[in-house]
Amino acid sequence: MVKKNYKLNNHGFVLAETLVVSVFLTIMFTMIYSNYYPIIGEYEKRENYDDVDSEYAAYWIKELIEDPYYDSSNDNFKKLDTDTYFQFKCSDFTGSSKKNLCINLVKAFQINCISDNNCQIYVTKYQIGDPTGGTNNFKYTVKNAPKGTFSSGFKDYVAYLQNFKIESRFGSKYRVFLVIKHQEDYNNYLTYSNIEVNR
Amino acid sequence: MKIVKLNNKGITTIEVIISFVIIVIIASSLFNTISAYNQKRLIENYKSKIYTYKNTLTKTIEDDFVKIGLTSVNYTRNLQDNMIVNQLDCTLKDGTTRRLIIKQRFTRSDMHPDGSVNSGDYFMIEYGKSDLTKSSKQDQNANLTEYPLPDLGHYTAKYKGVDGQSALDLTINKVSVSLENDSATKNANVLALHIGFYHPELLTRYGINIVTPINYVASD
Repeated sequence: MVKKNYKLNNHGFVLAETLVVSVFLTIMFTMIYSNYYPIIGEYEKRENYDDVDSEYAAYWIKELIEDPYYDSSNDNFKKLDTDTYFQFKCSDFTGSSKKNLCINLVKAFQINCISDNNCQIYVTKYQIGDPTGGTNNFKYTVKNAPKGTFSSGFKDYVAYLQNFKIESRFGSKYRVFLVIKHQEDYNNYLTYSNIEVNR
Repeated sequence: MKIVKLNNKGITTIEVIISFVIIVIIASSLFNTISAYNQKRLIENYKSKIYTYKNTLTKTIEDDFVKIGLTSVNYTRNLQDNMIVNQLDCTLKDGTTRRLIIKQRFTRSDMHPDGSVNSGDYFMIEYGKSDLTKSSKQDQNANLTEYPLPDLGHYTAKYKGVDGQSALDLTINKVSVSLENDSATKNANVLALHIGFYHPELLTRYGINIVTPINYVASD
C-alpha cells in the first residue's frame, strides 16, 4: 500500500483571481451575444426575401417582359450592353390591351411605385455579380449607387443574393427584380423577389 | 494510509446570504431574457404554421391559374347558418371550374365586432374542382378539399362581461375580392384576392394574396 501525506492548499481564491476570471467570462459572453444578436436581425430580414406572394408577382411580370409587345424595338435591352439595369415601365408596351393589363397587374401586386411610370421593377443581366471584382454589374451598381437611388432594404437584398455565375438551364439572359409594398390590412412593409427572364 | 488535513471550518452565514443574493440577482435578470426568448420561440412556431398553410394553399390555387389559365370569375358573399360564406367560381381555359369557399363565423365577443352569434369561432377554406352540372350544392362541392386553419390556440371570449363561446387566436378577419377592368374594353383582366389572417401576437401581417390575369394570352 502506498502511503501519501497530503497537505492541501486551503487558502481559496484571492480577489485578483476572481476578478480576472469574472472579466474573462464577461468578455466571452459579450462576444457571443454581439455575434449572435445580428443573426436574429438577419433572419427577420430574410423573412421578406422571395416569399411566395412576391415570387408569383415576379412570375407574372416576367411573363409580361417576355411578351414581344413589350419593348418591341428592344431599345431597353440594348441598354444593357453598357448599363447594368433598366426600369420596367408599362408604357413600353405596344398596344393598349397588354399595357392596360400591365398597369392593373402592377397595381394589384402592390409594386412599390413612386409615380405611375416609376415603379421598383428592375431588369438586369442574368448574372448580377462579378466574383473577380469587376464593376460593370448590378451588385456593384446597387452597392455604390448615390444615396436615395435604392433603398437600404433593396441594397441588403441584392448583396445577399448569389452572383448567378452559372448559366441558366433555360438559356435565360436577363433577370427581373421587384419591390412590393404590402399595405393591405393596415400593413406597411416591403418584400423583395427576383426571377430569371427568358427573352 | 492517507493523512489529509482538510479545512473543516464550513461556510459562514454571511457567505451563504451573499451567495443567495448574487444567485437571486442573476436569476431575476436572466428570467426576463429567457421568457422573452421563449415568447419569440412560440411566435416563430406560429409563423411557421401560418407559412406552411399559406404556401400550400397559394401553390394549389396558383398552379391552376398558371398552368391552365383563368377565363372568368364569379364572386358571391352570403350569410348561411350564421356564417359568412364567400364563394369564388373560377372558370379555367380547359372548361372546368375551380371553386374556392371561405367560411367565417365569429363568436359573440368584443374582440370580434362583426360577431353576433352565440356559438364558437369557425373558419374554413375549401378549394377544388366543382361539378356545375350537378344540381345540388353538396354534389357540386363533393370534390372540394378542406383546408382548416392551423390551431394556434383559443380562449373563452367575453361578451359584455359574460363568458361566451370559444374564440380562436387565429382568425380569417378579411376577405376581399377585386376585379380590375381593362380601361378600353371594360372587361375584367386581373383578379386580386386577399384572405387576411388576424392573430393577437402577429396582428394582420400574414394573409393569402392571389393575383392573376384573366384571359391572359401570351403573344408569340
